[in-house]
Amino acid sequence: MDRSGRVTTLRVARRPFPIPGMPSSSSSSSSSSDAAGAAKEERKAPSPEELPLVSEDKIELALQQQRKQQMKVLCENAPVWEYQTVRVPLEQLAKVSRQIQRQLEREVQQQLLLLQNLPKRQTKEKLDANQLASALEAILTRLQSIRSKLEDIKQVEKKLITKSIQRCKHLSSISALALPAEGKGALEKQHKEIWNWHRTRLDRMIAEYMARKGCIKAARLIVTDSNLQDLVDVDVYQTLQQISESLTKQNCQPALKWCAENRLRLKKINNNIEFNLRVQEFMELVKKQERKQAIEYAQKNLTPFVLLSSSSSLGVSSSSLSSSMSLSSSMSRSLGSSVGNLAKSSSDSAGASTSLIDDPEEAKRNMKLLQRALASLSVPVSLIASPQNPYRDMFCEERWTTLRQQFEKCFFDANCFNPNPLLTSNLAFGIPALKTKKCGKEYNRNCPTCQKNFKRLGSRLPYALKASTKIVCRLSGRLMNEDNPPMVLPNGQVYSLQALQQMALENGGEIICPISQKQFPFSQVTKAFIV
Amino acid sequence: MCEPVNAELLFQNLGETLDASYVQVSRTLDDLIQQVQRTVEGIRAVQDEESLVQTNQRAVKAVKDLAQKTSKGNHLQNVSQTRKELQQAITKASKELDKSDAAKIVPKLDVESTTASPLLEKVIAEHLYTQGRFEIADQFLQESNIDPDSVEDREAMRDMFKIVSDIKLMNLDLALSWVSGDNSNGLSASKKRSLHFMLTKIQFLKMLHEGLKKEAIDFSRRSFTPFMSSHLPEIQRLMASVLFVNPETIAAASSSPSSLSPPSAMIQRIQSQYKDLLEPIDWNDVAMNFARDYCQAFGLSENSPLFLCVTAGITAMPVIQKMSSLSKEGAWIGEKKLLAEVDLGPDYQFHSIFTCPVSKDNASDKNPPVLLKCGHVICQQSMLKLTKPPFRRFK
Repeated sequence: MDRSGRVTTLRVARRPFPIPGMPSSSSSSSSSSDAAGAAKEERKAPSPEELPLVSEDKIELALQQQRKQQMKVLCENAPVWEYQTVRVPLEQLAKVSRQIQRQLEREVQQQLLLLQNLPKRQTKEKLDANQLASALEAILTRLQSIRSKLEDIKQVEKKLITKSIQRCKHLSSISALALPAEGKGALEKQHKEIWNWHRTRLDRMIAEYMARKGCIKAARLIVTDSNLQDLVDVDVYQTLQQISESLTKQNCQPALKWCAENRLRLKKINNNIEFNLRVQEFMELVKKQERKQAIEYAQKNLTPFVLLSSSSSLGVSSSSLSSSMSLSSSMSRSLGSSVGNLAKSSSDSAGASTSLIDDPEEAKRNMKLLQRALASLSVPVSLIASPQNPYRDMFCEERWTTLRQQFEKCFFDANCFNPNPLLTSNLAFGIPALKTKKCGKEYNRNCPTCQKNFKRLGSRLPYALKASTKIVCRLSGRLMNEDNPPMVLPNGQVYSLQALQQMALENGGEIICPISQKQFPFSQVTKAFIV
Repeated sequence: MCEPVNAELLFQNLGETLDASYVQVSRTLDDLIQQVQRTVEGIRAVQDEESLVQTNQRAVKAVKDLAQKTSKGNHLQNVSQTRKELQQAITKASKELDKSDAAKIVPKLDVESTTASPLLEKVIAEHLYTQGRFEIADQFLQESNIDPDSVEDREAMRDMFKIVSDIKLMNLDLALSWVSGDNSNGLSASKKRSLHFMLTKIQFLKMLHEGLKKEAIDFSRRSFTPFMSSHLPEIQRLMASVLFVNPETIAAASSSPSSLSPPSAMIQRIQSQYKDLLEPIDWNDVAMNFARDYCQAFGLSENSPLFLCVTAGITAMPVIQKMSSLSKEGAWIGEKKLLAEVDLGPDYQFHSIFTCPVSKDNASDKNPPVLLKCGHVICQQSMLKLTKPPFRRFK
């Protein structure tokens, strides 16, 4: 009995079923149970020689059927992942459309105004026919130039739509491959095309992953190599990378520029990144001890985030602004007055100052942060770096990292990207489906989860549930099933019927167990019934 | 299910709306331009016997008329309206896409852990190495600040691709030197011999196909000797084929059946015996077989593990989603085991698993499967449980 503990080694419960005619080597103690067992066992398993030869074709056919089923599943499930692929260009189109609309309206309105003001101008400046004609001609030229540029502008939007349609076509090509193929070589060809589509998909996901991690050059290399031009939004990721880099270098300007361009969208997704960026710039001024500039900055750039747009109700009253600050040091008294001025001037110009906030809840939240920021003005220089600084969190460098992460998240949200790269999401589903407790212990070089890196990647992911028995024959590498059942050798080793039959044919009815090198006649193997 | 077909329709409709809106805008602009132009022409056209004052008066009147007309006319509104309609169409399309099932599925998973980062980069690099895309992989590692040499099997893959690309260019020298050298000792002796023989045979055939009979015979004298004991029948066949396999017969054999001169009886006989040797050598196939054996020698997997995982994920996703719909979103990730079985098909079966029909447990070292007299197999623990009451026999 083999004690290796492998699944394909069965420990024989009693002793091997006594072969009629062969001297039984059983000891007398269990002979009675043997007899009982033998009596019970009326339905004898057919002797191995009686079993029909397992045909290669039958096995292949069964395998093919299973493969066909799996391929179908692969085709049908693939497009489900592609929300981002299809949604992103639509969002880009929306943005570009808005810009174009503003531009067109502005230009046309401008010229119309000029036209309508012309009579007034004429009376005022006493223009004669010639001058009037020239003025009109200027307007005419401008209108004509708008008209001629219309085609170019249209192409900008059209290109995005074409790109989207390309992507949709690419995605529906896989659904089309789910349909059954007719014809002799057609099935093979279809399977090849399915694998190719999936390889392209993997390339797309790798390109996206690289672009997300900022490796733009590598991403572009893949896009060119695999012809993924319209399918991956590397340009958008590059914009993100540039802004991210500047945030790492502690420069908020590109990020603020982006926020200004995308304010409408930011409002919809309810993200206060712009305010946080402004606060950070304020803190940098405080760190540099430029207190006066800091206060001016706050007045100009921070107050719009705490005041509501309706002048009738201020999100914050000037008194609460100054009173909620508990300032103790003498320096803070003077600061307190300047803060009070800040509040006063804001409330004075409440109607005139631009407000960027509509939601009173948001105004309240921003207010809290503003108070902390302003309060940090009162921290004396010597105390800034010390652990006793109550506003330590406002001064620490980690704020930049958090800010950058928040910006990235906001960027993805605004552009309708998935928050995680598709590749990691996909692996999160794939690794558990493959992971078994055996992986690594019984190393199979073809098993992905046996690989060291994958094991570590999936260390926190769940194991797969295997509710049915699947045994792989160690001789032929084939799965055992009813057509190719497992057979037990007298030494407990198990192999598939087909492999044993083959071996018996080649060796004149003898089986040589590859593990133990023992030889047995074919008649000594018994069938095991595995459910 | 995100239905790309519907999405395609969505976009096509958007395209049409876009076209229509631009037609409208250009028409509006054209109209405005026309009006202004007419006015200008009217002013510039000096009538005979018209005094300067009269011209000026006429001009002023024309301008006033124009101003009035344009203020009443709705050019700006037209432009705005049509653009607004376009915007609305876009918003509507966005909402439709957002409503689809696909929007709900993927984003909720939060698997990104900081330790995974250099790992996944290495995995991607390995995958690219298996595809032979060394420049891309190296560029990627460089941009991610990872040392390329920390990726295992890089050199092995590099060498393999060198040999494989040579094979595809019909050059077997590197392959032959690899297989006869020490590097191929990862293969079993018989496998090594059969690979060596296969390559030698292809080399021999290549010479025959090029008509280099003498060289082929010399080559065979040198190279076939080690295989005399193992592959004698095949060698005999190959030597005999020297008489029959040459560029002429190959050309004659490959001529299409519908050609004017059907192959002679002689050619047909040759074809029946040596069909496989007359066919042009499929170098891609040779390369693939070589790559497979090379991977076996080094213990590398045949398919890229990343590709297998990703395709497994596609099959697994709906099953897992369904399973997790009963509990909290994304909670299944923290579990020890998946609650539903994912059937990945025969190609993804790498380990043997035994599930006891009685207890539904998986077999392990401590709980091995056990063969009963009747031939059925259950887990040892199940068997012990069933035999606990003092029966000697049990069903």
